[in-house]
Amino acid sequence: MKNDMMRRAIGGIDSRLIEQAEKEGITTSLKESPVKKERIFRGKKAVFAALALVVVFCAVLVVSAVVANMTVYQDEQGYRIHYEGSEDEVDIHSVTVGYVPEGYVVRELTEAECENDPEGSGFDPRIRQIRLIREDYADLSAYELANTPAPQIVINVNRAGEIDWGYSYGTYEMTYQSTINGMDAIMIHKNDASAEEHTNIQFSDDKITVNVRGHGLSMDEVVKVAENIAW
Amino acid sequence: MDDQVIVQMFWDRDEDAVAITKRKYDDYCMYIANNVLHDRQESEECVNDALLAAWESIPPNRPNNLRTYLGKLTREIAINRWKKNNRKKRMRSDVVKSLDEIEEIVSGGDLGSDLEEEELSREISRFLFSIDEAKRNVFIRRYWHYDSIKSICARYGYGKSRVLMMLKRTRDDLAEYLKKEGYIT
Repeated sequence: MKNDMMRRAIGGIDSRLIEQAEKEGITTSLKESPVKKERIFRGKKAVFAALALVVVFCAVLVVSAVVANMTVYQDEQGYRIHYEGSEDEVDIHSVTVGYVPEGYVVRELTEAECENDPEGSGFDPRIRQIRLIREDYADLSAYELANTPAPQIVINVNRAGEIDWGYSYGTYEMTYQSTINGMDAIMIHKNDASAEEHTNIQFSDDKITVNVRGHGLSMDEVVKVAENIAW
Repeated sequence: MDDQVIVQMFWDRDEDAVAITKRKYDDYCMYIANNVLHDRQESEECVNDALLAAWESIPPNRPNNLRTYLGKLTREIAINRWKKNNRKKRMRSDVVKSLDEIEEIVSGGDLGSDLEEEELSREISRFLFSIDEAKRNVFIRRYWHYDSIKSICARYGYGKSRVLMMLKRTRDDLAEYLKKEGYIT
């Protein structure tokens, strides 16, 4: 019989192979009960499964809290996010980036002012240059503003449908840029030339709102816009 | 007592060698025999036969590893005893399955008629040395020790399907190897 020869041949394999196979695991005693070990292993499996469930449940709670938090208002000194649509693709959202501090005014620089600012990059029709400045400096020119220690916030905003300086990454880019006064300025770029996207800033007496509308903008990007605005 | 000392006692025809060997390897040989026969009394007789076979074969043999030498004798005697008694019903079904699985290795082909058993053992050993240790050990536990699948799972902490898959792949690979080397035509 074929299997007899094969069976006997397997019986005659190198002793070192057999020794190695006998080294690991349980002893060869008849009194050994492998079933007992298996039961213990089953108990451990149940414990690990229960722990895994607890971890998953906690993770779900944390994620829910984070998601829920993203839809609620921040405190009045911070920012508030309003959005519609899913978290993955926010269609319309406005980010209230902060409040005009008491004693400050909002001023948008004119074309002439931009052109006359030797420290600036000149007038760029794609960019709205906006300043939040202390009231007592409200009448200063852009150049003068750039050379005073007056605290100010500079916000340069792309006009709708324009590509800003050829940046090719991301849909919206928030950067910090130091002014010559050492104050941080915030530039909000729109890097996508989609005609449906536009950015505008609204200033009221007490708050500045950046309205960002675009397709495919994630909540992360919206949050990033808000978080990077600083007074 | 060291195995080489015991082997020398066999060579010196010192009958104490058998008693010492039985004390040292009785559990081991009983385990192998019982895996096949699943009967304590039959297994005890099988182990006694294996000790007698050792007495009769040492000399001229001088095994380097007395334990596996006895294991091989016990294994062969247990299978022959089962065949002789034709007690298939009393034989553990997993041993029957083991033998069927071994048959699979050469199914669809023939072992060369002039092939020596020792030569085939050497080739199988060569193959086993070349494969992954985990697969090798599982193969040997199944087809040399006739361990049940359950026992193998308990020994190594593997799941049943994993053990079955390891055995299937190793059998297929061995068949492929033997065909390539010309031992299965």
